[in-house]
Amino acid sequence: MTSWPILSLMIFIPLFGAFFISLIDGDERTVNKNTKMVAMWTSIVVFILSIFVWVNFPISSGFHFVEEVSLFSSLGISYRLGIDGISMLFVVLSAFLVPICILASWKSIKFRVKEYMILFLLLESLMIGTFCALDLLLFYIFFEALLIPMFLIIGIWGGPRRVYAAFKFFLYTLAGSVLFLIAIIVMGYSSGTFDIRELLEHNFPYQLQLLLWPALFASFAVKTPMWPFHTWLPDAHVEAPTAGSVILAGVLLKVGGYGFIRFSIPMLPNASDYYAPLVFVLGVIAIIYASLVALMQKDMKKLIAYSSVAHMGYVTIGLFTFKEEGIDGAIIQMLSHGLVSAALFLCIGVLYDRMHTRMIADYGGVVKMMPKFALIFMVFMLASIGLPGTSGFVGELLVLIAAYKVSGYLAFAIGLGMILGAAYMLWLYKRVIFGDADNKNVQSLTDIDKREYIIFIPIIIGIFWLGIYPESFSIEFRESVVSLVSSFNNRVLN
Amino acid sequence: MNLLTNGLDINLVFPEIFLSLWLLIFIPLGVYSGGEKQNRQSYFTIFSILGLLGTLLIILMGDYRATRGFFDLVVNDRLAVFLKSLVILAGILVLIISEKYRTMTKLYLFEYPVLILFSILGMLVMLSSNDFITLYLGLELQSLALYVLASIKKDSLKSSEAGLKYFILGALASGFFLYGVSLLFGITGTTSFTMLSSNTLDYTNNSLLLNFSIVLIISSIAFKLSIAPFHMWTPDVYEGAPTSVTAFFAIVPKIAAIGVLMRILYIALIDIHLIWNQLILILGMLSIFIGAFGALLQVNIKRLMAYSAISNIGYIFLALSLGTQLGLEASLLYLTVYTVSALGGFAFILSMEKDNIMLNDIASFAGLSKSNPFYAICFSIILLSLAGLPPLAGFIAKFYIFKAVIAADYLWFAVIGIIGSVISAYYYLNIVKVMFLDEAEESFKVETKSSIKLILFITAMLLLIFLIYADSLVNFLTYISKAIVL
Repeated sequence: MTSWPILSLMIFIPLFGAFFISLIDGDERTVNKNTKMVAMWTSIVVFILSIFVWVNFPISSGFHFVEEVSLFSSLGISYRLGIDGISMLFVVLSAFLVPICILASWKSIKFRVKEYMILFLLLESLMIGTFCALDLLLFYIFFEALLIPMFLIIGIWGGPRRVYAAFKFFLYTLAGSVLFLIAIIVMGYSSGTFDIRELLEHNFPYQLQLLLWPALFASFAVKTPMWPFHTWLPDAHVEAPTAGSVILAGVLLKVGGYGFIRFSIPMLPNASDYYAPLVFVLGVIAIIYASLVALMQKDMKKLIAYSSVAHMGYVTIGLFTFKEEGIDGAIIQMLSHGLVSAALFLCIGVLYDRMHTRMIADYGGVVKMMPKFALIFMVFMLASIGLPGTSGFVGELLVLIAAYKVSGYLAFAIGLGMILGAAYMLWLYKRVIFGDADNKNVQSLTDIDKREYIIFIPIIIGIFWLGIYPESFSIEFRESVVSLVSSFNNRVLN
Repeated sequence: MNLLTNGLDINLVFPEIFLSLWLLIFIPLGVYSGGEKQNRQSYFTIFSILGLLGTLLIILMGDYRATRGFFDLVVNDRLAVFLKSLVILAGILVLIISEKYRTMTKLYLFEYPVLILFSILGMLVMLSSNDFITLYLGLELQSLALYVLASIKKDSLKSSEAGLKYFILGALASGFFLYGVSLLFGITGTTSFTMLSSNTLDYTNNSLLLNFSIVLIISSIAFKLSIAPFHMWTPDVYEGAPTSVTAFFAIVPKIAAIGVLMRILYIALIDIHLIWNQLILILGMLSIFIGAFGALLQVNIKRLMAYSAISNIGYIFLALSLGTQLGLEASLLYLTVYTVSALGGFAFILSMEKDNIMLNDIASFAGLSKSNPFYAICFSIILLSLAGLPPLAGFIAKFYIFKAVIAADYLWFAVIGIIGSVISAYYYLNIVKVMFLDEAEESFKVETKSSIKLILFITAMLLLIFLIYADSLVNFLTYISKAIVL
């Protein structure tokens, strides 16, 4: 079965499911029910396929499961798919989060369910395509097309300022990525190919690298998001429906980091080395500034959004240390953040479904009514802080070690950020969960039900698994990272 | 020169002769036929479509080899055949999508299809011209028919205003054109494209006079193409003219004028490429931005389409300014994709009516995704393609242009051009937002003829699955563009 076009299957099964959903007809209740079931099962099938890929994944560097069909030879666009150890884990993460999102939207999406599920499956297909693409243009096509379903999900099912947030999200990302498009054309034109495997081997002239790097950076920095390109993120998160926030934080932000690993660092190594101090400065500002801003937030979702900015700061710093620990740590941090921030947004979703408010001041004393929920929330909160044993610890520690190898000051700044991170998360937890239940609505809260258990338990398992035995993940991408770092050192030091 | 074989080759102009004869039958038929107005309207439409189809058949059955005739006045080659077919096909489709609108607004006049056919005849003459004089004949025939078409709604103040405005400015542009050509004739002693291209012009006669004449000729063509800063008439005329005429304006004359410009720039004036290339480049960049910024605050969909046309033609100018084979190919591809998108867009606009009133306000499309999902989805695909989002056709077309621009070492112009495309993405997206995100005050069901629905569906599908057939299309367009050897 390993000779099957399994990546194409993972891309096209959601599309097929979406097409099938569009054919469902009947009265509203049955349509909604059937739509949800079809979406759920489609995404579960894709998840099983992704597990299959993981199990059968050979431990070696380079790309596997490669498929290649010529699409547009006069422009050089081909339908090339393939994954290495790094992208494989992101594919699994995407396939893992989508069924959870669909389950989380089971009750909270009350109107236009059919369109919602179609868009979610479309989103899944495009996310997997983004991580699997081995052609620079194909990557761009998936990367850009992701905007449309996300724009509609935020814009239709979002909060009161949803239109503003959707536009801000769309235009920010588009403005960043068109510069990437120019860079793609220049890269393809000067090397004669859009094949990522060949581009990874290609040596671009130094002056050209210095020009290309900012164009790529503009796109990935907006997506990641790095300070000062982050301002779309709090708005998008606050207005998006819960599942939209989960996908946004869980997968879409990772596309930026993935872009740095896949394109900026290996293809433009000299420029990456040249611009690394800039990234460090922006990363440190992101960590400290976003943490301070997060401390003062009144809205829970906004707080988590700023914490995402801070956590992605660790990721970019880790990547641009060009050390094995740093890149390993950044990848683990991305996976961990994908789980933890997704879970935190789901927790806020659980509260929001019951209280219809996200203001911290409206809560307090939740533990009295929802003890089980308080426990689950605590696990995620501690994982976000980076408590040893949870996934957050591994990534942060590795990044810290790598940063210390580069400069003590850098390590100090990251450490400061970690303390601030603990401060805002613990304070949030204290204000929401403990204290007196002054608000009457809090007193009528009900604890989480079976559906919500099913949502949270897989994520908890993932967080502890990644925290206690990270080797089972890192073994998959170790070889790729080693070859990335060694080719980087060869090309920069020579 | 052998006068008998090369001089009067009737085959070369047979399509034009056929269409003229058809029109000569059409006019008395229109005057003397009786019957109910509505029936007559559809008979005449069918009659004119048959005439166009006959012309198309003659063109396609003709010779594709490059031949010149009538003492070098006309030319026939692959490029002419392709663009003529595109003009005729677009003309037929515009006639089909305007049918319902004409019934609704009681535009029963038989002169309407006659004028459309006359202007198409003018465009055919333009496209086969190999001399500035022939070109002028075609240009005037086309323009005169268009002036009348713009003001065909006699009882509407706005339509009359549009026609008058278009006429006065258009006459001025024609004057510029003749002045420029006469200056060129004064310098070189010829108006023939062939003579001009065979080393009559070079940089040794790079005089102020030559520059002057080039500027005058290009600006008059730029006027016909509504290129900034000669675009002022466009939004008013687009808004004032009946919507079906606007659809015609936005699509068909553009193809002909671009074809003519290709021939002037790439055959007649290619030796002095360095003189016109900056001019075309600046006009193109200006149009991209004026089109993008002008559309931002429009509330009327017709005015918005006017600005959208300005910025789209700007991209074609950007590609044409390069003076390379790749630039020619890219502009042909962009022109084709733009034609398909504009056809789909106007098929949508022409089917939006509520209680016999056309919906021209963008705000009135609110909630369309709920009441009429088919229209909303098709139009969104068209808009997103115009905005240049992958994997739609508009993206590939823009990509091709930027590739050509970068290949010609104009990296910074590519960057500026792409910024323009981000700005224009905003207003296209805004319409998608209105249709999908806003709530309708009262929902309504759009009912149109199934032919319009089919055209809307096919154009949207063509834009959506573009990547699948893009390869063969681009190969075909490369073959077409090789008609002009650089």
